[in-house]
Amino acid sequence: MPNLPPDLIPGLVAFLFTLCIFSYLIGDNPLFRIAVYIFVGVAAGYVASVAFRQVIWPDLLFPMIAGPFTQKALLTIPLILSVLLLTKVSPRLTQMGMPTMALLVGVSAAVAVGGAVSGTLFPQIGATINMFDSRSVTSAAQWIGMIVNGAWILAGVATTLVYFHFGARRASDGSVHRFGLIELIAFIGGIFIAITLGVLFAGVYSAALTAFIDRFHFLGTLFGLH
Amino acid sequence: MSTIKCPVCGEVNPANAEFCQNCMSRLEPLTGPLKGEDAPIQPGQLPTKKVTAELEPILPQWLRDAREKARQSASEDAADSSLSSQNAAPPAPAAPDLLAGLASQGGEEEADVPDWLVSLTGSVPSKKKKNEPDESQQVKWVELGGHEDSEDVAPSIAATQTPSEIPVENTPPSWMAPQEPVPEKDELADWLSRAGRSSASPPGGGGESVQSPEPAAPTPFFASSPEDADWLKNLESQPFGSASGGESPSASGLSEDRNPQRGPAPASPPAGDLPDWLSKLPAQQAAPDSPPPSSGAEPRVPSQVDRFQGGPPAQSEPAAPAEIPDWLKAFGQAPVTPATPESSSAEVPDWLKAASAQSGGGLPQKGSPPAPSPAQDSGQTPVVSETPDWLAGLKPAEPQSPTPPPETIASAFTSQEVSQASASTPAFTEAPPATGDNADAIFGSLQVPDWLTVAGPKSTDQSSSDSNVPPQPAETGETIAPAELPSWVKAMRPVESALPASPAPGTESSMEEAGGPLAGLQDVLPAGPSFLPTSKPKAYSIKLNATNEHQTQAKLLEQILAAETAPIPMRATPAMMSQRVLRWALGVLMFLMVGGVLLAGTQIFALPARVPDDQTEMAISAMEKIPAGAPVLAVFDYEPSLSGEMQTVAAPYLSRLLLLKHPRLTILSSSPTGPALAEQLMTSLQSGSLPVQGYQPGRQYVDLGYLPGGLAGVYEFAQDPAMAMPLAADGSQAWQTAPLQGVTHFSDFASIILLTDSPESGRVWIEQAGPLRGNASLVIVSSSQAGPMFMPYVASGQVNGLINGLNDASKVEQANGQAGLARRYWDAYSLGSLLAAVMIILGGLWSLVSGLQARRAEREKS
Amino acid sequence: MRYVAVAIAIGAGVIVLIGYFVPALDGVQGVLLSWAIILAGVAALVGVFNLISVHGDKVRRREKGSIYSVILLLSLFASFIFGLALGPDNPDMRLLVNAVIVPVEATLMALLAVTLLYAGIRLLRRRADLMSIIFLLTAVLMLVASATLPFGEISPLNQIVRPWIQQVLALGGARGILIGVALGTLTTGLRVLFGADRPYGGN
Repeated sequence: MPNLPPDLIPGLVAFLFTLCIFSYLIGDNPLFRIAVYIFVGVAAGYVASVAFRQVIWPDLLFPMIAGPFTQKALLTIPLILSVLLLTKVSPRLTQMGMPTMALLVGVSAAVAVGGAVSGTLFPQIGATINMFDSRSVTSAAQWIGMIVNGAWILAGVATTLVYFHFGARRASDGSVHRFGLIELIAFIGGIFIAITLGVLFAGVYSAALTAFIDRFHFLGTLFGLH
Repeated sequence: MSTIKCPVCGEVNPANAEFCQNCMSRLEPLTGPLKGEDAPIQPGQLPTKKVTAELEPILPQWLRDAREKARQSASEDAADSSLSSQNAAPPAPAAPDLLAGLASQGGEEEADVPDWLVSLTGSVPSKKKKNEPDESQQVKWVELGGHEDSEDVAPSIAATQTPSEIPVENTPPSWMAPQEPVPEKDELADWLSRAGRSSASPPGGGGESVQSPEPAAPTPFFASSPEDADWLKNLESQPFGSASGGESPSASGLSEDRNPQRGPAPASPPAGDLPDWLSKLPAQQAAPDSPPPSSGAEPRVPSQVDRFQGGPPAQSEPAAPAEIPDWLKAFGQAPVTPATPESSSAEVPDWLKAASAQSGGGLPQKGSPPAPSPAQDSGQTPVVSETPDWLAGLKPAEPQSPTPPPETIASAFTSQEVSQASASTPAFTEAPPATGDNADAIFGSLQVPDWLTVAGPKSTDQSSSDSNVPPQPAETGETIAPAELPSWVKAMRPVESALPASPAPGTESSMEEAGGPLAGLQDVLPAGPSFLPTSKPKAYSIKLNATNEHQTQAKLLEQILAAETAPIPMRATPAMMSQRVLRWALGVLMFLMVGGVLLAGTQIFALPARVPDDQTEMAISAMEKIPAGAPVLAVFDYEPSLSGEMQTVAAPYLSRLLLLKHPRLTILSSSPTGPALAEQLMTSLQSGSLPVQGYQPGRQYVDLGYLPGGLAGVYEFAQDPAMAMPLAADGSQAWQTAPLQGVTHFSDFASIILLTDSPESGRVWIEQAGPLRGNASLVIVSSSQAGPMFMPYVASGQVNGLINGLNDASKVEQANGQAGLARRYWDAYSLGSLLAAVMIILGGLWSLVSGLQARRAEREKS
Repeated sequence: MRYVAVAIAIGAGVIVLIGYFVPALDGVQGVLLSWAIILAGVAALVGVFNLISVHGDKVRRREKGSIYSVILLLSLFASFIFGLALGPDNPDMRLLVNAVIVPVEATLMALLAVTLLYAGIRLLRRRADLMSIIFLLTAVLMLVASATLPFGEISPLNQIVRPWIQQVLALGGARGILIGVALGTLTTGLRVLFGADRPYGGN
């Protein structure tokens, strides 16, 4: 048996999978489905093994076996909650996992609230205000640029927020409309949002295009085309 | 051990069984909500014990006295039987049929059976077939909820009818017609019979009633023993009150049949002693002049009669008026002179007269029997001058009974014809069903309720005006008005639901007897369980009672459902084809241009120029500030889908960092596949365009592995990294390794480099870990799809630098001075971007025009 | 069970939230957070078990396409068993990731390029309004401005238009979106902490 490059077999497998997925451009076909199902199975199995080997075993099971008493006592509750969470696999016992989910949701909600306030709301609002801080301005052109850009950004932030204001009242003819000024500001906010989404669309396309290029690069590397 | 035959499958079951052991059908039909406990005894059903002693106090005083007297008289012949023991005595289990004894005797002495009885027995098979329900009845049963239910009800009705009612209803003779069944009357009689049965006689009514000196008169008649004059004479000699004894007529009479040794009546009367009128009966019954049955109820002869006959159903067949025996004719022609102008004594049955006499001229008299037995009814009625010999013995009772009050007589039987019917009925009808009329008669003579007083004069007038002519049935039917029972009687009635006041529509006039003494009569025999096909399953109602509106709505629903499931034709097949072609064209174009340029390896497109103070330069600047050998945290937070882009974007920055600063690198991933991707990137750095040598896991860098928990995990790691991730991916103590020496807090890292492809996960790190990073710089290496959302954080200073996509990566490569993958990809990337821009512009214009045209066409069409 | 769940959610959430501002509660907060990390790992395992259950049912019922479920289950059990036995950091497991997971996901992402291009072309046919036009124009400008020509950049676009759109106009919109998202997160989180929303099934 000749010596094969160590990456040859994985490379060929990856090549086959790449072709199978690319075949979707022609249309849905069994090759594409097989590749996707295998991918889902392998990914799920890998995730499960990672969760067990890197989280459950070292953080829960092993300390319960070989850890000190205090650690065992502390881990008793998550162990019970973990068992309860596993009951969610069964539709009949899914209610048993409610306390565990409640703990996860409660903790996550609190963390999200704290992070949103301290990590986004205050800093972003402060940054919008500081856009007009002229202490770092050294020239008039820079000041003008700061004011103009700050105004645009402020307009974008304000109008975008107004765009998500859905308070409305019913007109005499029964139709529901937002207040006129709010409607105008929301329209401007819609433009900002459209621009932002356009930028994001271009970014997503760029990312996909880069992935497209990367796949070709992989094929070229595998077959030594470049 | 007694047994009971299943009415459905014919399986023999123990008598105490409620359900058939074979087919699980109910053996004893339910006739009421209380499992038929209050229902009359069914054909083939054992009498059930009924304790009605608790009802005793609510009875009128006179009735209680009468019942007491009856008990006393009954105890004369049954010295050993006390009242309590009688109540507790179980029904005779060995005789499921109350007339079984008689039947057997009749069979034994078949030679002595009179001709009419012989003819009865000879028509068994045909009658059975005749009695089978026709199709319409079966359908009706289905609608009513079950065949057996209907069967159960029918015998119940029949069983509760008086002997006079049955022939009156089913036989055409006009003189019988006035005995239209009055349901209320039946119920009253039934109640009375059961009340007497439960209090004065045992439920079975067998032995105890036999001890009564008053024999059941109908029984000898059924047994065709008119020569029973002896026992009838004995009966005559008995005090009337004691003869009735408050016993159940049916019970007393039938019980005697069961035990012929005890009673004189069943003692196989010789056929030769049959009176003339009885011997003529068969021919009379076969007379075709029987009018059609009334359209009312179809009372059926209880099954006791059938069983008594040994198979053929014996039905009461009234004699046609034209063929009335001599004694009956005389009865009609020589009426007893009424004591009062309103009533004629000739129309009053003798037994009623006797009852009246005992009750003191129509007033209730203590000790008078409340409910004379049918034997009395039938036996004493013909006590007139023309009474046959065999009934002559009863005649002396007549003088003893003074003429009852006219209203009493009239209310009891309403007319002379009624009494005639009563007189003639015993010849063809079994005695037990006479209960109702007797009871009414007694009550009518004792208390005159309103409904009786109303009916009395009417019938009296009729009888007085036309005493010889039988009144029309309708007249009599109107005379006894239903639903006017006294309140106290209503309160004591049995379950009404078990006894329908009127037969269900559709059950009338469907069966006509083909032969025997009942030939030409319709619906005189019940479709008892023994006549039914044994294998017939229970039928339940499957007919939906839906109105037209319901049907319309159901049809509409069906249409809606059909419309939902109907395939909708594809409207724009050409458009679909064009879309597919367009997609193929785009794919081919991309393959050819982008793939071709990449595989060609051209590097003709210019790289984007570096822009001072942009986010990329900020990131490079932040990296420049990292002290050499400082701990740096690299967070791999991207998915394999964008691993190609992320590696291309991150490689130049990390290479530069590792080569220039030689940081102690700590790798962490908040994605399960992150550790593998991190390892892949670290491997690629060693063989990249700017090879990073000397970075080995565990020495120059440590992989902490996967950090679960999302934002909670990130926050926990930012709060206490060692507690959140105590172990490395390989299971070693991560915080004791060289890369993490001196690091106890999150802020101890000199820089945090976040490699992410998702705005959400990047925002989590910015929000949760940003405030806790201290002086550490936060640089984001992101995919181009997430970069725009990080720009506000860059502008706010929360992120110290951003490398966004291939464009910025090419700038870093320029800063590194070494072309890498970004440069290699750049031509294809630029070409692909331009191609996309052109295609979107051209295609967008084409789509805009075609869309406008399509909408315009639609508007014109509409 | 319902009230216990609500109590757990509110109690744990309030303790963690107060821990942001009260250092004395750091210990309790850390314990709760570490529990959350462990339970999140178990939740990932539960998700995989649920996937097994769903596709196992498909195979048992022999539904149409159950052969794909068989393939999925086989690959899942294989990778799971090898992952448990070897460990996810094993080089062979890395090969599995690089040979299956990365190629499939990356190729799917590559297909997205064609799909997005097709969607961009078809957008104005489906919805031709001002917002769509602005959206497409912005996308086109960004694409053109992010690219270069063979002989150099398109200077006005690369040097002026693209930075201005990305760092001013899009920044304003993105900041508005981020603030809106933060406000939404705040209200949603508070509703959970107050027990008004019970996404864990306590309703």
